[in-house]
Amino acid sequence: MPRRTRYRLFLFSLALIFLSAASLRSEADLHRVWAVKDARIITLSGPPIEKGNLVIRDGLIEAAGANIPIPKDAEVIDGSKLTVYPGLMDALGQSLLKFPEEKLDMARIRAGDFTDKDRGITPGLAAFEYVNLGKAVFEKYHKLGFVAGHVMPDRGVFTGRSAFFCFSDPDRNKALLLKDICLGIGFTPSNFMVYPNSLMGVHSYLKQALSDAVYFDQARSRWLKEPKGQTRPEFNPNLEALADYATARKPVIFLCRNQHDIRRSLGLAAEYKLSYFVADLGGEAFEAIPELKKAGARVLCTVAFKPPGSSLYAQRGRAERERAEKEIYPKNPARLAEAGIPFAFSSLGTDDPKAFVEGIQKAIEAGLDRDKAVEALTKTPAAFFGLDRALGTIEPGKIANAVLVEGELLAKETKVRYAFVDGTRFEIKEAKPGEGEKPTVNVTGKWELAIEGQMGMNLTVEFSQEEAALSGKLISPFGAFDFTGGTVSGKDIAFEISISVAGQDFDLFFSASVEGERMRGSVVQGGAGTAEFTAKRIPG
Amino acid sequence: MKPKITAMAISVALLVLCLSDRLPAAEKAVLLKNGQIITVNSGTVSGGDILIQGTRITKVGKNIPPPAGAEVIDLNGRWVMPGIIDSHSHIALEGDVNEMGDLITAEVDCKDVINPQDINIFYALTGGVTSVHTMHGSANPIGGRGIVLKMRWGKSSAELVFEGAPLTSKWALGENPKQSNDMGMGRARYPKTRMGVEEAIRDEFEKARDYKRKWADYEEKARAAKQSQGKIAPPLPPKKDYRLEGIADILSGKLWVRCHAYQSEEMLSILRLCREYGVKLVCFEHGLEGYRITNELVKYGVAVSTFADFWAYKWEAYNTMPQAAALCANRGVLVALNSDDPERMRHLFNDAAKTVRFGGVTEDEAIKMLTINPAKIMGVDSRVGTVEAGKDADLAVFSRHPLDPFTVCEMTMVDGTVYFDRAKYLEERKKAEEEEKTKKEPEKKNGGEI
Amino acid sequence: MSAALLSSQAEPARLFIKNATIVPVVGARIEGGNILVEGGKIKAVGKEIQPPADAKVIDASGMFVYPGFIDSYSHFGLVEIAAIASTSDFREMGKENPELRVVWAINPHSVHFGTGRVTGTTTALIAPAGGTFAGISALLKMDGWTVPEMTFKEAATSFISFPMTPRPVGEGIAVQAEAKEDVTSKLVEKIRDYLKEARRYLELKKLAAENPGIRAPEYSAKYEALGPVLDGTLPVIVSVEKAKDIELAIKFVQDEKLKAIFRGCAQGFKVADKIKQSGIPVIIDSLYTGPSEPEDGYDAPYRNVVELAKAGILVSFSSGDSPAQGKDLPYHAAKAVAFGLPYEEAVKALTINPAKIFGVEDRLGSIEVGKDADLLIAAGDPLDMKTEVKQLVINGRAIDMSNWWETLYQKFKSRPEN
Repeated sequence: MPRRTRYRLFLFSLALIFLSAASLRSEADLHRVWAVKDARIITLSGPPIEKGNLVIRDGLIEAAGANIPIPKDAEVIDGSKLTVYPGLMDALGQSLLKFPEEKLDMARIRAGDFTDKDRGITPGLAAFEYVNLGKAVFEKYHKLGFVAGHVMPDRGVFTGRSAFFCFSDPDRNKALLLKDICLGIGFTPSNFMVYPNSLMGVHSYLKQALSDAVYFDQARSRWLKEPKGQTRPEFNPNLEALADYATARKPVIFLCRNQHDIRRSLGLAAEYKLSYFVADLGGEAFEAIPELKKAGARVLCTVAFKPPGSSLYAQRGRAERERAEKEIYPKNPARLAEAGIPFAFSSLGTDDPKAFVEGIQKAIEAGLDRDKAVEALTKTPAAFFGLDRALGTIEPGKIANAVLVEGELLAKETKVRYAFVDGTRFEIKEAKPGEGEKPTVNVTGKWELAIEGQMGMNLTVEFSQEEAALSGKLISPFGAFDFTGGTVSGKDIAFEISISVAGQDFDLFFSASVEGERMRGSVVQGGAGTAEFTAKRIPG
Repeated sequence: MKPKITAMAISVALLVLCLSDRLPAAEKAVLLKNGQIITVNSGTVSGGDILIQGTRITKVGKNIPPPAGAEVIDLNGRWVMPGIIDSHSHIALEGDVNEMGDLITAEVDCKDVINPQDINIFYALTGGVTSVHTMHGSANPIGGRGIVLKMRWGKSSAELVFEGAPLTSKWALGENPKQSNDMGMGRARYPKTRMGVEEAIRDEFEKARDYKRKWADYEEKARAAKQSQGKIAPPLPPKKDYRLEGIADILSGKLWVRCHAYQSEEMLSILRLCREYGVKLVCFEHGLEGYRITNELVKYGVAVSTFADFWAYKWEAYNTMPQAAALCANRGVLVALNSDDPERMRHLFNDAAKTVRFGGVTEDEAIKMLTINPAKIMGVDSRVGTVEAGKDADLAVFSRHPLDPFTVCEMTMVDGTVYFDRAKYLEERKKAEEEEKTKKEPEKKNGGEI
Repeated sequence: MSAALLSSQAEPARLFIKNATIVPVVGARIEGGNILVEGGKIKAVGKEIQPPADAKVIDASGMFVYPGFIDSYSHFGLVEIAAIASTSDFREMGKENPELRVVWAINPHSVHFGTGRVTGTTTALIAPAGGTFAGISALLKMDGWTVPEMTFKEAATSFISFPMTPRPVGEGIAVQAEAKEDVTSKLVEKIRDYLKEARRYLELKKLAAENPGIRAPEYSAKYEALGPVLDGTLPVIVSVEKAKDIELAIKFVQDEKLKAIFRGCAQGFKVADKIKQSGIPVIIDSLYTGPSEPEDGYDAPYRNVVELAKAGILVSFSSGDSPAQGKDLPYHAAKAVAFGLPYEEAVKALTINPAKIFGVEDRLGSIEVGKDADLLIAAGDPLDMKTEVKQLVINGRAIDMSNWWETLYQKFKSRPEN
């Protein structure tokens, strides 16, 4: 590129930045002060204010009460039909994280050249680096009342470290509340022929790693204090990443797939004296209430309510499993509340905020007090992660995270009209009704499929969609296979492929639901079994 | 609708079974009367009674008067034997039973992954099995620790553990640790020969000895430092290594070693290694060529836990025959018959009958292979394996003699509690199926009318 | 009991089995009965018959004689050691192989013939496996020098593997709902389409033969092989497991007008009346198995046999996929008896029933004059694991009972003890 053109381009982009910065500045300048008039305000720090005013200034709550005067420079919202709640928080999720594409290098695998990542050992993996914020994402959350969330990578054994964000600004630096808060510990063995690749191995590995991390930490501080006469300890990046957590300076989150993992977690926490949370991914913490109570454990409750594969209900067949899913598991949060075990709600296990809220509503129908549900989405997560002096209630001085709703929050007919996040107002617009049979999604492009379970593998699919007709190519470790004759209806897709592996032929039937850049569905192999899969669009 | 009721009824049935007999163990008394009692160590008592108090058998004999408040179960002449003991299994474990990532994984422990909700525990009861030694698979020269469980269906993981049973260490020789039969799917992992398998074990033993020496050293220096009252700085401890501690437990005899092996030369070679390191090898698992070296097995004093007739599934299982178990037993080797498979576990009594035809074992000896022999191999023979006063009330009731081809296991009891009762099971199922039918009929009628 | 006679050239033309308890299967037991065997056939049965002078006499006092058992499904001779691929010949790759014949691949001296028959099996259906159309099975006698010598019926049945409604694979955090699609019906459609193509081929061929102007289609071994299946002259074994699939399979078989035999039917007891109505017989797979689904009950495999038999369905037993466990054929029958199958029905299911199912009851399956002399002489009830079968007679010859197991046993029994 000739020098002059380059220089012009540079000026142009500079101008763009300046202009956009300028516009942002005016945004912040012009809309700093808000007053919500004559609304019902649920502060959660005292009794509800039946009719009052809420004043927000410069991103913080200035005042909230029955006779608060409206400042002259405030923009006023008529709150007469609205109720104000503290904005809801997701106590643990991972759908906001977006990791870069990684192709499986079969040559490396066959040679036995495995990385820590293959083993699931990524304690340094920071959620902060991989969070994907943006207008589209915010919209999905705000319209359900969510204004902040705690995100953490959740794959592997030491999954990574979490971060807490306000859903206020696409710039992660601006949206960040806290980073590197918790370390995730999972019980999932590696898929590869590398240690640990069994549950037993993972458990023993955890013990050894925690023991080693403490040892390393002590050796290092001893050397730093007085290097004379001491051999300095060898640096190990994983052990360093683990040090704060193994010594209880920071908490860990145990990702428990079922009640047995919960007991294992309590055992490990007691033996290594960890600070911890139990993320109840299997939704069966109710089976371990006495142990949780005795240990004083704090729980992150999920709401997918599907009985884990290890449970008796799942083993006893579809009917039993469905009964448990409908009648037993949704009672989990209510039972924890009854037993006095502190818990907050986590979106893990649900695909999107809508499913998350539906799950919480199920829990309320199954007996959880609505007020307790709201607490589990506001005060409790704030307290768990050390943010109770900044968030969780509507009190002067706290961050202006609030939602204005028509009706009662978390009820089925609730409409969220406005969300305030970090003092910025977001107006929620009505969505258009669904189309029925006509396709509402276009999946043309490349997607990465992850098939779960024993048949588990990663595949790439290239889709080509024309109206409701779907065709494309499946790329697997065993070769590439074309297909046609797939269909798209509403947001559901279905297609079938015949593949040939080592001389054996298989018919695979895929069906999935598309939500934005993700899909979730099932694949049936005629005669052998069904497996679940998720898919992510590959950008570019 | 249909499967829902059945499944619900069956789960209710199981729940009922679990909840009933939940009186405090110490007070409860049960009298099993009028049965053919195979005691195992003192013949068969015809028309005999067994008195059970709490979890133990307190008396075996004829015409035992029931104590006040005792539950009386009339066996109506059916056969009772000690609950079958399966000394080689992998049930009730969550996740993969092999940690294949490394070749020596002595730190791994089955106790950490007990799954009390495995339906195979129930299936074991339907086959008269009351205690099971469940363990690591055979992918590694030295694998993890195994554990003995009682089939107390419905209880928690901690409650399934057979208290006081010795912990075991699983070794494996031959094709499995060599990964010979993985059809090229796995990665290249040493060892690929039997030579490499044994070398891997020797290597690790030496490392463990080194580790123990380092700790002994440290302890000595620590003592000296303490006594010096501040003059000598306290030494740094070596890093704790769970894997080497596991190996050290093998070397010190804390763990009972169970070694999976097929071919006679690998068995002889490992016996030599064990002598060299002072390790007591308790039992060969499978040992399908053990019949070739009975002299050596008897001389060393090692037992064999094997199959009645499972063979030819791989090369090292080819040079054997169903008479192998009998030939070993008849020559003085302690032989147990095991399942290594949840399906086979349900009919181990049929397997035992096979040794009568193949090799001419007596019926009494065949029954021993399911009861007192595995109990000895597992170190629990002071508690189970025979029907006699003082032992645990672990019993299996059969419709005919257990070695009869047409026998059915009708009731299984663990610690004096009935955990499986076929009559009740059938009753519940019949009720559930009738309920379904009546539910379906009115629907049909409504559908037809218009 | 003297040592068994070797099958050799200089063998007695006649055999006389004397003073046994004879279980002919058709008709009542004969205590103290005799059987005269001549020219490979049963010449006479009764208490009064006398041995001719040149007959070799087998004194079977205190013993039992049954018709030799017929194993309705096995891989004898097609696999030696399961884990070693070079010893395995029963599973070809690809989905459609209806033209393959097992007789091209059987090893007549496989160790498993010798060991598999020790409990009384004299005839076995030897089957191919794999894919949707696995090939053509053969009925073989369990003794002979070559495959042609052993082959009783070279083309016994064809095979169709019916698609199975899958169970959801529950792994990881949660067991999700089953796929909404009816995949089974789609796969059945594919099979129908294939058969339609075969019919088209055969029709065109016929037309071309009759009309010189019409060009014959290019030769297709696969479609040719399906000819006899489609016109019902070659029976086809359809393996199917679940109740829903059995119903679909019955409809399929009737629509396509096939002469079908079901194999497996693990949930058959749920639709027994429908199977009975269809007239399709059922080959029971090895009973060393658990229930198809846990809700069926722990005893479902055994209960299944009992209920199918009670409903009047023609059932037979098989030893299943592993020839190494071939000898357990009568033990599966014993298990069914334990759970309620009448003893006589169990014996029929090992003898006359499979003979009927394979259309060979004029020659096999019972001790009747004129039928092949395939007999087992046992020291007790042959369904009892503790019983030793002392001698087998196959095609009228008292065969050499030596086998791999005996060889190892005798050798190492002779090693001096400590």
